[in-house]
Amino acid sequence: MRLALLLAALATLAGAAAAADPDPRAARHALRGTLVMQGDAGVFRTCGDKGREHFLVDATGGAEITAAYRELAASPGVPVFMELVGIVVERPAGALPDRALQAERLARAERSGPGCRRVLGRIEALAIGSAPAWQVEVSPAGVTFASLEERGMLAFPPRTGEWPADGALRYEGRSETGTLSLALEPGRCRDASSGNLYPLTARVVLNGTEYRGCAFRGRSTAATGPAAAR
Amino acid sequence: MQYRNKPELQDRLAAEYALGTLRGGARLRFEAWMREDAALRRAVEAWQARLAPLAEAVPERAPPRRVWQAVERRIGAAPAAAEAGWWDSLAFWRNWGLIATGCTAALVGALALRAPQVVEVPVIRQVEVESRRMQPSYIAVLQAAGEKDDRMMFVAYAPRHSDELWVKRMELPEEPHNHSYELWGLPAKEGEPPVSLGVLPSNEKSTIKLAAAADQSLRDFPALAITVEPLGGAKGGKSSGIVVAKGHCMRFW
Repeated sequence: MRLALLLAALATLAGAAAAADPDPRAARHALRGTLVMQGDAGVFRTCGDKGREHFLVDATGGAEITAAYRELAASPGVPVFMELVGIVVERPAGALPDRALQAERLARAERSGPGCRRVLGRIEALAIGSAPAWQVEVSPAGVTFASLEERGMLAFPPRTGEWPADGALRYEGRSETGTLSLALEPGRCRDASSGNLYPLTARVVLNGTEYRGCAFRGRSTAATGPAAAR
Repeated sequence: MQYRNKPELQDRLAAEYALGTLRGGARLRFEAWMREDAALRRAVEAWQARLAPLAEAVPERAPPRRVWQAVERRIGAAPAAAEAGWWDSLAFWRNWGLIATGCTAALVGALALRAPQVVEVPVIRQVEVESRRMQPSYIAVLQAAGEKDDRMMFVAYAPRHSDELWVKRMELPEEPHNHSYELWGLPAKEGEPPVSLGVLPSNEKSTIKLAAAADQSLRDFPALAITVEPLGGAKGGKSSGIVVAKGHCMRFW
């Protein structure tokens, strides 16, 4: 109830806040947290015990964040996990929340899954898919393919080199269990089983069998420009 | 278990298990894994709770007549089309079944007397129930009132202790000019008049404020109906218009 009142009050301020032009020189941050919306007003709380609340300004252009929330939340007021990229702005003294996030890009939105509980650690990228469920994990330790099918979990050597500037990634690996190729391309991707939204499409070919799904980059590589993940 | 640190994969497997699309060896492996992992069981329960309203919302459909006839033939409820031989005789198989059962019982008795064995009693494991499952609610799915029209017109949902009824129009057409749709609770007792629950907003999704929590407002109504009424609702709280949709109002807990 308190949150509903807070959000209702925030809704009246939304227009003014949204009107502020973002500073092109300001640092962009990639923030992971949960978004709660009532009407057009939202509060984004970053993950962690010391997570901070931000008044959300959907600066994506097409109200992409608001639309994703409405699609994924079972009902208004239900938290949805998101990874947002944007500018953090301090708000006037006494304002609650005391910060605003001018979110310019929706990187990830999940209605189900580990959400804030997930610690990505050294994971560079994660590709996932359904029917049958599978996952490819890319980390400096190597590339693994996991499913509950006969193949089980297969390990391949680590990839080398920097992440390409265009955001796309190609990988080819060989081990005693066979060959795996992975192609990640920037582009909005919707997971077929959960409806979750991801920033990359994934194509995996394992020993000649093709798997298609979605992917996202790990915490250390999610932000762009001068950003530092918080 | 090497999959334990892969929560995204766990979530997808739980979804596929709940949907029934996880099959064969993968399903058996998942069930074995689930028996020893409470978090995985919770993930499956969460998905089952998410999917349950969808299953409730699917309208009931009668099977085609030919399917029903085939079922009747199989269970021997319908007369056979042609004269059947002893192989197709129900009496023959009934007697044969009695004799076979008797022989089996005698054999089991003899074996039990010869070699008494310790019978292992299966341990019933208590499954943890997740507290985040869908809260107890009233759910109603209203279908078109016409005899030959079974389209799902309208879905309503209210948590048991909430006074807000969430409603979604499915194929409910726009209201006739200068008229409103009104939602009614139909009492179980025949002869008792319907009780208005409110006028439907014209949005695709909206909420209706109930007079009290759903447990008071809806518990006496096993069914709901929608009528066409004058703009703003029926005069004097009495339904006067035609019924366009009706359906059961179910408790989901």
